[in-house]
Amino acid sequence: MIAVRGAPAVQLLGRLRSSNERVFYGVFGFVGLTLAWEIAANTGLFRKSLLSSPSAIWKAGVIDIGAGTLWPHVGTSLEEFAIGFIVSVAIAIPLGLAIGWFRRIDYFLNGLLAALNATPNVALIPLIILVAGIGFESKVIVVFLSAFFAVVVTTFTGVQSIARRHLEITRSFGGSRWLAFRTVALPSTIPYILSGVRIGAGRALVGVVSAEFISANQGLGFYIGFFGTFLDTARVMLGIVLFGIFGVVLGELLRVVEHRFDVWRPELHR
Amino acid sequence: MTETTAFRVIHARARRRRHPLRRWYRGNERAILSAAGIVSFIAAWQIGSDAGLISKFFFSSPVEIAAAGALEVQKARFWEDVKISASELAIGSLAAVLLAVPLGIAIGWYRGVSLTFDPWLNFFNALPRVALIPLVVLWVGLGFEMKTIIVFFGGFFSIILPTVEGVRTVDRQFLDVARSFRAPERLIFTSLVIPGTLPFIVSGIRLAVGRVLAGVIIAEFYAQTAGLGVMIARSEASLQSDRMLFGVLIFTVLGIVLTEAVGIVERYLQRWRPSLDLEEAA
Repeated sequence: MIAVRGAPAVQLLGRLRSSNERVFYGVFGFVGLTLAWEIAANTGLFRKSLLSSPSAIWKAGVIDIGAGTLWPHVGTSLEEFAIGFIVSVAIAIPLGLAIGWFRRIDYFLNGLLAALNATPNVALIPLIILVAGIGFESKVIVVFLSAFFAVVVTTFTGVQSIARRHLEITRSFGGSRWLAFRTVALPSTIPYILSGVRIGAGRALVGVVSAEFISANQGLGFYIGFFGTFLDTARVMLGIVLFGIFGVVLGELLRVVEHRFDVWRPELHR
Repeated sequence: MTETTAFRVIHARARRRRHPLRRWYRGNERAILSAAGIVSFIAAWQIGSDAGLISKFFFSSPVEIAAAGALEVQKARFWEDVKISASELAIGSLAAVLLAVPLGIAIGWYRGVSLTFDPWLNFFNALPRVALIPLVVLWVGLGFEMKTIIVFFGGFFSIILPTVEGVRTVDRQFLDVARSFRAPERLIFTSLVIPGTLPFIVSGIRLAVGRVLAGVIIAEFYAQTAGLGVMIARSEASLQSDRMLFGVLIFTVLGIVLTEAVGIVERYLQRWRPSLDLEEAA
């Protein structure tokens, strides 16, 4: 059987494939498409100004990182993202918990939150610029708003899907409402909060890019737009790739944390 | 005898409490409080800006926004903008659904293919797609095509990822049963794969609603050619905050209507939905 399969190299490939299928195909897809892109660009299948090529992007990256011209942009974007996002989460989680825990607050804010959540927050960028100017603050506010409602909504949905039984048990044993909140509501809500934080992070990233496109003189979004006007496709792509990598890394990190708390999901304890 | 009196007392007290107004409130508490929330928000805004607590220059007031809206809908230019934004949204989203769904099903059906595309799909899904605007501008310029393509990208990756996931998670056992009864592939597809994937597709579309709306707005802000986004941006430039907020309000209403519409479809499909966390990758 093995003899039929042929050369040892092929065998090794086959073994690799079966041992870690996901990684094997993933690497294959990544390397394959990158190579195809490079080759297509160099053989003139499409104009390089349209999509650039992996090697050109790499070169642009090496030059800009070496010259130190890229870091200020990355730093600015990161700072806007971090401040806006952290403040947003810090306010959204307690608010979401309160809405979920107190029925009347939920009823009262329900319609309002649904409307605000359905509003594409980026539509408010002109207003925010009008109020806070074109500087750093306006971007932080955009990031804040972009993440805020996603976190609030998932948090209160989380509180509302606590296993009723657990609350009843706490009450039967004479536990106070505060005890029930601390020992039942909070832990079962954490998986939801983390999902909300992950979704919010994605939206916050959209906020950073959008705000920087519209008015900025620094930041990765500005970098992309700026080099776009100079037809420097390699640098445009470099900025896009950096945003993508940031998004993937952040998403994966949050996903790891989320999986760690998956056992606390109330669905599993019903 | 004493027991009956005790009963009577409680009963009397209970009856005294049930004032018709109170009963009505009890029955509709949710709707009443929810309406009260919205009304008090608008009222606070109006009163605050009339009293000078909220700057009218920045935030206008509900009455002024309504007045600006009434003025705006009489202009031909406004309807021109609406038409452009609506066509960008419609064409881009429709193309996204029509391409993402079959492609997602095809990719998901072949395990090897789906794993091969995984890193790319994840990359584009994590990437804020509005970052592609300058690139697309290089391809097709600042016009209608660019904005439609951005809308398309906004929807496409949000839909294809859950679709692939949905096909991949169709219950193996069902497939085995179907195969051992020699069900033709076509039947397996129409009776197992499609129904099993449908809820995933719809929840992908729900995620896409926000993305396409954000896409059209940012693309219009960026290009400054035509559309409702331009109307908003121009009102800002001329410091007409009432007109600007009227534009924002249109997108709010659009967002609510579209989200609700998808939500209705989703609840309808919930009956056979596999219990899975679907907020993946928002």
